[in-house]
Amino acid sequence: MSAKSTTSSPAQPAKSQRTLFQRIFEPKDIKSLSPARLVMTYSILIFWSFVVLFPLYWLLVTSFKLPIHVSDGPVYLPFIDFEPSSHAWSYIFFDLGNDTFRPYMNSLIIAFASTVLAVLFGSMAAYALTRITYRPKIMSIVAFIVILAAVVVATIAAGIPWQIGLAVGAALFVLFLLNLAKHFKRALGNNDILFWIISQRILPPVVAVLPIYVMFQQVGLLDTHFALIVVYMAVNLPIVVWLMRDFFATIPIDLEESAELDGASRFRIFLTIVMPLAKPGLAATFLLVLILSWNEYLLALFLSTADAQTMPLLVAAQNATRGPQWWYMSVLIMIMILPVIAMTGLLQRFITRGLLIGAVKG
Amino acid sequence: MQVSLRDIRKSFGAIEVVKGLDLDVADGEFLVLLGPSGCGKTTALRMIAGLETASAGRIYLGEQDVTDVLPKYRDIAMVFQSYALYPHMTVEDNIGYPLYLRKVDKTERARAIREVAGKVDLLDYLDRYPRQLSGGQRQRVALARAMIRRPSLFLMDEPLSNLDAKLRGHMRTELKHLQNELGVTTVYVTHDQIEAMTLAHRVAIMKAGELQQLAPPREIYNDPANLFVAGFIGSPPMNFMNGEISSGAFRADGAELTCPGFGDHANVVAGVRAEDLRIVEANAGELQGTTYAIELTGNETLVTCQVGDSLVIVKMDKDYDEKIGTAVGISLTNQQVFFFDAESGVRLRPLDS
Repeated sequence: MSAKSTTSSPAQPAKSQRTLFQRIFEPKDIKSLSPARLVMTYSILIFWSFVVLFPLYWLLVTSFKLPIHVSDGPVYLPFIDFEPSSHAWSYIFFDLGNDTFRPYMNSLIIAFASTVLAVLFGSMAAYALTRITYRPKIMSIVAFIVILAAVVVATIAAGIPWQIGLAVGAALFVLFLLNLAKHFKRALGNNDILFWIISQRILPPVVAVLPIYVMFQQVGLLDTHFALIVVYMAVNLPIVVWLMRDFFATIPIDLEESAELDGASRFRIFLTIVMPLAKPGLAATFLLVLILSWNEYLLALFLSTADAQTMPLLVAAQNATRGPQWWYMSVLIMIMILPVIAMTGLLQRFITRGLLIGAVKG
Repeated sequence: MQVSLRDIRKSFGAIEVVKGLDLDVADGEFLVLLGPSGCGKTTALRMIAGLETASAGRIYLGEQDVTDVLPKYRDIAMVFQSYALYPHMTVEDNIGYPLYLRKVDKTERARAIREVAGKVDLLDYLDRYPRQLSGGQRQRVALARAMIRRPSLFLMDEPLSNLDAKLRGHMRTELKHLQNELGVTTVYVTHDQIEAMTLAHRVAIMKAGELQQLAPPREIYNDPANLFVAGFIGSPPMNFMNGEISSGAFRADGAELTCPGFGDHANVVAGVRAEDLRIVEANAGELQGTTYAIELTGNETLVTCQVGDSLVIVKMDKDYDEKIGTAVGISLTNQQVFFFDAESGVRLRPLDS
């Protein structure tokens, strides 16, 4: 190969000989960005940060405005555009007092309890679906139906209207027929169970909310923490199962087999090997489910009235008879985002860490 | 402890990967399961461990039938090819995990960990995490974890295959020394014939789910039971020539070997190892050919010759050199020639023996 070959790469010019164009558009070395790209990158990042952060700033300043400053059109700079006032804060914290703190506590209790339960049960189900192959036998399906039929009979005996018992029974019977039909074609497998679980989220919640309302009314659980915790847990379980299954699938099966030979039981393997390794997944799932429960509005609207009222309802209530009261809403939203931000900060280090390094590679 | 497999079979769907394996491992023995990938050796090992259930047959540990016993009740320790270290635990916790599960108290556990870590040279690394260790160190952690509770049986699934060549040689020596010192029965799976030859008291060679030969390494090498074993063991591999035996002599294109005592056979493969051959003058010796390639490996020269349709490799000393394409003769230095039936691969032996 000769030095003058026309196909060879041009020589890189010495640093001092670079043209202006090269100085601007070529990086100094392979690992860094050229000045032009640096400017572009930061411009985009700054612009997007502004888009994301400005609403939060707007909330903050609005919470210090008098109604007159809000209705007079947009003003943004405290002390310059308008004189800040703490009237909204004192109204929310002192005038409303317990009417603010009770929903706040309700929200905390309901969101955290339902999230912990959903993540706990959901990851157990997800683990079972990842590692154990299910092949239902005819007799076990029959036993399942018989037991549930007994439950239906018992509910009727307990004084709950027969229509509800019948509806539940009919639904179970259809499910039974479906399973039976499938049993002769091919065995029901883990994927069928998984799809059934995720199918719980196919219908919009508004479809399910009336039956749920009627059921809780019948058993006298309306407007209790328990009702919302159970419903939120049930609604979020499919998401947990779906997400955690993927995380569990990435854990090398060798680790679990090794632990099995070392003498660990299934449950101990789950607790001491699988769960610690799934921390990033658990943290991410926990946060997602927590945010979903924390912000949930529709189900809370139906299932709670006063004692179990949650924060989203309180925020919405500020848009009541006298028109939207933006200043009060801003204060409520400001205090409402605090727990989620705190949790994100706490869990962030788990989410970003690669825990599996060193497990099985040489 | 003694291990016995009685007609063990395993099928995945319609495919039978282990086809009736009978195997007895004596107490304290180091047995190597050797075979190409997909021959069912790992499946056989996993059935002994209890990680797979046998489709048919019985497995005995000592006197006990463990065919349907859970792995945790078998008192077996296993070293995985991937090491399977718990990445969220320190080296100390990794090694001590089997004792932790058995509720051994803390001071006793710490003492046992230090003792076993000393054996594999890990005392300085007890506080580290697996991700902070090199491949060889991880391997030793896995070994220590298997050794700590003195199991009645060690199972090893290609434990050295993730190491580089030099380290592999070193760990092989260590492994053999440790097994000898502990005297624990060991079943070791590998596809590497050097590991098998150097480590094993006896080698079980498998192919397509069937046992081909079970014998000490020397016997496997000197007296292969069939064509597969002969071709699988040895480096460079045994030279094979297709021909026929008639009236006490094997004839092939460019070859004529006397084989007194063998009956006439039309379709024969003759096998001879490279070190049992020497290059001599053209037209002398039992085989006639031309040199095809000459490779110096350091302490010896491998001379490949074209004899008829086959390539025959001859091991010469390191000073040998010759132009490619030269006509040469090849002579047998001793009468180590093996004959096999070309269709079935079965070894042919002299009629009178």
